[in-house]
Amino acid sequence: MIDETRRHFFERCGMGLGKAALAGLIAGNARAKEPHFAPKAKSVIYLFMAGGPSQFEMWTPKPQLQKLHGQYIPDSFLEGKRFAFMDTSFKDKPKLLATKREFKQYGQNGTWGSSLVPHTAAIADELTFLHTVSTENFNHAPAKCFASTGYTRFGRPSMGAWVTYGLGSESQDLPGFVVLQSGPRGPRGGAPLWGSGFLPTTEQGVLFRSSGDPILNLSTPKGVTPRMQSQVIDAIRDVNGMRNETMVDPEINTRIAAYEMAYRMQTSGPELIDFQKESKATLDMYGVEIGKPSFAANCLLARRLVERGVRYIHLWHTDWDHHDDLTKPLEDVCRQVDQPCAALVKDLKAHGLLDSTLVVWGGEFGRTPMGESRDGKVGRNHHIDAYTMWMAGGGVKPGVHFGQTDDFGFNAVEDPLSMHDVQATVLNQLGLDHTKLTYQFQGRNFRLTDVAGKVIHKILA
Amino acid sequence: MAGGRVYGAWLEPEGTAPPDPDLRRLSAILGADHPQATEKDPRNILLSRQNRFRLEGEIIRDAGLVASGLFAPKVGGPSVYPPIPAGVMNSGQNAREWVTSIGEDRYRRGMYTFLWRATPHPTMSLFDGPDAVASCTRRNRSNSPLQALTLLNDEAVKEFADALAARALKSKDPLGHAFELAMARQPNATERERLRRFVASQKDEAGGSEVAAYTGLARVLLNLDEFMTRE
Repeated sequence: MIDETRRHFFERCGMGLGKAALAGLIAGNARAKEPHFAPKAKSVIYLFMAGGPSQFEMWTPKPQLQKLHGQYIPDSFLEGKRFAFMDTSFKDKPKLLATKREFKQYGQNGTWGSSLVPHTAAIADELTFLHTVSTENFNHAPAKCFASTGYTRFGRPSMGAWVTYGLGSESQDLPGFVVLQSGPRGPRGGAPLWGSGFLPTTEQGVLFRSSGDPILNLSTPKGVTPRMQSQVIDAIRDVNGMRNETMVDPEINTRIAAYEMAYRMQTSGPELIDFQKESKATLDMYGVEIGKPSFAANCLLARRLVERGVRYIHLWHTDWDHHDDLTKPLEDVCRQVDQPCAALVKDLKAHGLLDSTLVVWGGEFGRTPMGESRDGKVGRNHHIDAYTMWMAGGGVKPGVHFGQTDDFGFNAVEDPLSMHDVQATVLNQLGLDHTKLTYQFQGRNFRLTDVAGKVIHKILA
Repeated sequence: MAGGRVYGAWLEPEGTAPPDPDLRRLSAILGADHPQATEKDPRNILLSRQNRFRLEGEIIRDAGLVASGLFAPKVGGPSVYPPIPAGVMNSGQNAREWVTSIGEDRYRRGMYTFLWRATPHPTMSLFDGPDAVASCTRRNRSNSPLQALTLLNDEAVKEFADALAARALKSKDPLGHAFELAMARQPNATERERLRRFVASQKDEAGGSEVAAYTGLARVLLNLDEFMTRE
């Protein structure tokens, strides 16, 4: 009797919770949506150098820094500025610090690259450099939050969540937004950096693990054979279907579909991380050793994810905070990322995927032209006023250097940029207007770029 | 509804006294649909009845605990550390130690689970738990493949399945008993027949093991839509 009235209810009331939920909540799963305009890129790979890579040791040689090494930076640069670690950085007045790295010019456009980044510099003609990016906060977690969510405090959706919210995913059996980590630990700030904020939780980034199962709980429990698992899935489907005959709730159909997709993921997950079918040439190009977790392995995985229709892939490399040592620790991390970053761009191109994949490289900020001395060792402090990022593919103009900084590389003197501009440009390449991709929360429309951000039209192909 | 009985917000573990008869009546009224209400208030703007919806993440855990008989009814005190998958606590800004609770603290309600903001409990975030960094004005109720993977394969859920199977096997009708422990009702004839075939096939596959077969049944039950839905 109760079943009868329920059936009546669900038949009569198409506005039931279930139907609305079905339409709105299975995001990230093969629910491609229409962009605002024709997109250039279908996928994004964001290579995040967490901690703040030093532009002065990699991309931006400054003759004046070499010449005036050891002299005080003019007060005019520091007026009204605040920095992280004022205690160590400002115990004495900060002095300009020359780089000890050798630079040479690469590519047809004469890109300067140091001995730390020979592989990436060698493909300079494929890259678009942004030299004047600035951000809003000089501490790691808030600056990462700003780079990832457009806001320095936690609680906003991350860029990957906005993208899958706006476009859905083309992958049938993988999440639309995947997060990969390498380095000694996760990034300062943790999970909110790939969170969904106020967007549906299905838009949050799925953190893949670098050893064992890529996705949590992808393996069946011990003692359960594949055949037993498939019997379990079949029984769940059938008994759920029986319940649906009386309940007539679209949520049940969604759940049946979710279990079938989960089962497919159990097969596709191991295939995804199995590099055996990659050629030796490919593995060597990235510097991947099979079975050994690394940033290189994550770069190769990123290409494989793009091939499978994953929309947004965020790679964290978490060891770039060189306050007091620009020697071995910096050399080590450069060695870990330089070759695989270049390999990724080349490999995407070889697979015909570079045109439809936007690759973005950068940290939450850069490093100061002044030295920071800690116990006699010298490094550089966090610098938020101008630093270097690069992009490749995805409809940006290759071989371009955009933005000019002053003689010390402290401030932008031409074409200043903000992280919001970078975010607006990423969305633009995906066919999304950053001013129109909004979500109403607590009484107003929110967007990734808050009330700022301009698409960097001059770098678009 | 799953796992003992839920009356409104009141979770009654098995073996405790039944709640106030008025509460029972209220539950019956709220749980049923009334044609008149459906006609007069088709979109339920007058809150004339309840809708069917998925339980919150913490409550799904509670339902599993109660169905399996593992539930520790202790109230209050410091947060606890039920099992989580290995390595989860290494992905935040600092690697965090997670020493799995032993004894009754392993089986406390989901709301007592300790929460690190930078490395939230993976099951809770998949089941739309608040992220504890911004105010949560309303929880989503998502329905996703990753939730399915969790309930199918997670160590904590497997532990519930093992316990539920052991509990059911003490009965003369383990299938019916397991079903009733999970859904608070007996299976109907079609359900019973389908599950009987399932148990037989699991038993074949597991070399004749009753325990494995009924653990399989318990896994199915803990994954059914009805189990995680308040009806």
